[in-house]
Amino acid sequence: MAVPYPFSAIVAQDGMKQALLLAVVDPSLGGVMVFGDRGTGKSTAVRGLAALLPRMAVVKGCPYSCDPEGVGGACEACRYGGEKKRAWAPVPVVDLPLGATEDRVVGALDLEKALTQGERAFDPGLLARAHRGFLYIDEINLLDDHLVDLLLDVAASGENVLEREGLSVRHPARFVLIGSGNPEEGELRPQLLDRFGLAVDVSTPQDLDDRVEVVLRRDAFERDPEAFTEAWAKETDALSRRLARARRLLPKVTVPPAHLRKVAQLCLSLGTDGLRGELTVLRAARARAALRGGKAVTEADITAIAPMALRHRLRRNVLDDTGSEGRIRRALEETFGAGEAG
Amino acid sequence: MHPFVAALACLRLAPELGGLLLRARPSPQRQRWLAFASAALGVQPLPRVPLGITDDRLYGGLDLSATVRLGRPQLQQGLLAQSHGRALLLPMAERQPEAVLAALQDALDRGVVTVAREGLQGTYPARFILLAVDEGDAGEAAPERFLERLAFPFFEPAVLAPPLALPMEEDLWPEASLIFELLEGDEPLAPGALAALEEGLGAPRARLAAQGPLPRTVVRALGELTDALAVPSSRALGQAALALRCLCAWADCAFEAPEALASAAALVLAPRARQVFASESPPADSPSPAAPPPDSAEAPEPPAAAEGDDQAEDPVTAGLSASTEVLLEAIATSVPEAWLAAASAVAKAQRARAGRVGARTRLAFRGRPRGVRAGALVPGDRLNVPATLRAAAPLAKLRPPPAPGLRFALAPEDFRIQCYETRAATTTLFVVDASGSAALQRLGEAKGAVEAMLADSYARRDEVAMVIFRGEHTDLVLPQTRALVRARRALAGVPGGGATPLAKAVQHATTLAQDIARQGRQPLVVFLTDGRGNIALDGRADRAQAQADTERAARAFAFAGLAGLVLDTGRRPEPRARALAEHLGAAYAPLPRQGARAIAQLVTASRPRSVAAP
Repeated sequence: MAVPYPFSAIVAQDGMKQALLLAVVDPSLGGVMVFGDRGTGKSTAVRGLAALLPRMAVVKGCPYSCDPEGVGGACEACRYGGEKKRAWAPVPVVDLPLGATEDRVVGALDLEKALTQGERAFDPGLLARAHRGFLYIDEINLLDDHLVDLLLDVAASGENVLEREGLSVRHPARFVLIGSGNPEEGELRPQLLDRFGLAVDVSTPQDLDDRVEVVLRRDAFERDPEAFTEAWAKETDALSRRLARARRLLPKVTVPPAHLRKVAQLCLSLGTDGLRGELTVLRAARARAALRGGKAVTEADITAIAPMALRHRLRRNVLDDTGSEGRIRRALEETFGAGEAG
Repeated sequence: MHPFVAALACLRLAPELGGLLLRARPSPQRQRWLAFASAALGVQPLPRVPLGITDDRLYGGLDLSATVRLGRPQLQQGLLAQSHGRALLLPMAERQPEAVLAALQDALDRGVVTVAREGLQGTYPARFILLAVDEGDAGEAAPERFLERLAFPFFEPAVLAPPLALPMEEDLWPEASLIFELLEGDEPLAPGALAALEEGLGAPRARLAAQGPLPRTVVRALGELTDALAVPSSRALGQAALALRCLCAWADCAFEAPEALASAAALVLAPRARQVFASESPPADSPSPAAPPPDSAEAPEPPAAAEGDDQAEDPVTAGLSASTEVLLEAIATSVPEAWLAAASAVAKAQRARAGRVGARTRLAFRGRPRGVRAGALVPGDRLNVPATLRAAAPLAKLRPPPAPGLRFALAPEDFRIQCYETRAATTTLFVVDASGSAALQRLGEAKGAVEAMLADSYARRDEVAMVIFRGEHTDLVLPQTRALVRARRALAGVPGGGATPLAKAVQHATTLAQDIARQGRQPLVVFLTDGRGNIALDGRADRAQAQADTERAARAFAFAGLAGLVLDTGRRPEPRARALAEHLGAAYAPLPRQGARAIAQLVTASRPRSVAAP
């Protein structure tokens, strides 16, 4: 595998970087949806992200990379099997390739075994490989509806259940779903959007200096990936340590009751459907607090992440022109008072 | 140096530049260019991506006969992986389905293809140079996000016009320049000539590898130029920088060399320019602020001598550094207006295409599984392995013993193919009467109905399109789309008033509906009118003639077997609207007084099964 472009060397795109980091700190946030054209550094960011994460302990030989410590949620072999050997593996980042067929996504009958031994065996698919890691779907609107439904169902339930071709398999598949799409090329269904924890917009940097910097860094990277990665190693390490610390800190981060009320009030005034909005705001705010090393969520945490946690949940009149972003800002100002909202 | 030769020279050094686009109608010149490209890329003949290529040929897939023969899964590489290190010709880029373009785009971006199909999994190198040919048909263009992967666009005027020399020395790649001069027709080149071409590549390749980092000032100059030319692509800057590297490697000069900078800009940036110098006021008749058509009055005449004096006042050029201004001037003289017009035509065609992702007919191996069938395997079919094995099992004893390694023999007649059901999606085409007759007062209601339908189609994943007719024109204000943002924008700006060119509208609707059917969708045409046409087909205000023309057009619509619905927008039910419906072979209903929802329900009700399969 080629060297990925370092995450820390990505110019601008702060919203996307923050959303991805939050999803790493708290994988239960439920994934990130990135809106914007291809080639704005989305896939670069996702691949670079994996390099920031420490290797994880896995059960040796387990096709699902089960956690040797984890009892619940392990695959059948690991749950009931005897002694487990430990191995270390990088956090998987699985790209759902274009043109992937359903059998490779969910897994299917092992053709080789079926043909040579007449045996009915299961050949795990991409969902199995993505377990405990990230599943990245570029151009989610190019994907067939039934495949999207299937992915969302697995992402939400954390396990892949297969009943087809005479196979009956159930295995864990907990991953952070990262999707990208361009709303100009066809709207995504609201049910689909709602499943993503965070949603951010990316666009080409407008600032000339930024764009020049992008080209210079990209050029330097293409000429000599190793040297470039080396030059950014300090930043990468710092970010890596910050992430590790944030993950340790996360369970200890508290939310002051007053803020809880305000978050509920915020969601109420925006009229978001269901409770997922509130929960995501709280979780994302805690992740942000952990990321900056704080023990308690502050107003700044909430106001910073509220737009990305809520913008895709607003029940909107499909023909209403007011941007979701603007409505959230207004609601934030009303809830927290204009002065402190910044 | 000829720009086309220069583009190929760059591509040979850096395949990461993606490739080139040739947007031109078929002509001897285009043929000659293609023949040269094939020679310069060292691949004769170029492998092509045919229209209608299936996913298994594109990505690769299970080689069924080999798999059955050998008894273990065998991958047959697809075109993407097969073309690694070579070149690939994409004819009729504008007609290729999104799925194919997306696959090519992904390979161009990453230089690899990942196959995850039919029990196979793997990543294979796929770095190729793509030669996309676009017929240059005014109405269609491949989407920008695909085309921007190709660093060098050439539009028809550039192909037909006498060559615009780049400000580079003629003999950077003398062998190639010579061949380009001498090449007649599309004869393949002698192997000796090809070898000579390859030999010329050695020295510049070595120089490219030895180059140092790009100076910031140089990239910045290119960046300023990108802004000044209003190049919409986010990739152009990086491509221009890489092209500059290649040109400098060929010419053995410094990055700062003005002729190299100007050439890189002329190759990559200039054809994408949406303006040469900013015009003082946006053109009044611009269809969209995104890409104003170049105002011919304000675009500078290439050899204008006084141009230099005016530039200081120009708002765009004002903030530029002196060196960029010099470059800009060099570009301005090398970009004929026709190029700008061509680029803006592409942009327009692309807008018409946007929102149609997924609209093309899907291959029939997706969707909900629906039983199996026996039969010959056609590429693209999916074998249902358990069913196939089940079919073969009872015959195992009867057949000659299987090949070594196989448990039992499979014969072609055992193949069981998985069938899938794809829901035929509907496209509802609204034909709205916005004339000054009785329809005008109900235009608002008609708009409301369309909006309600939009919201409805949003849930159903259907598409809508809208034609407005008034005065002398019928306008496709909303090309078929699922993108609500666009739909809403198109709807907001619909004016009312004027005469009623009903006959023309019916004709237009027929053509559009047939187009939709050709794309594998079911068209449903909803006319919102009072049926009182008063403009004949030839544009005269002749009520009797208009009536006759409308009737004829309506019969043609019925003859085409299209499904329709006439919603009478008259103040009270209008006999002529009913007559129109009869001629169209369409259902008729007066527009319900109360609100948009009722209309939407009416349209929805007329959809199921009554829609004739095209």
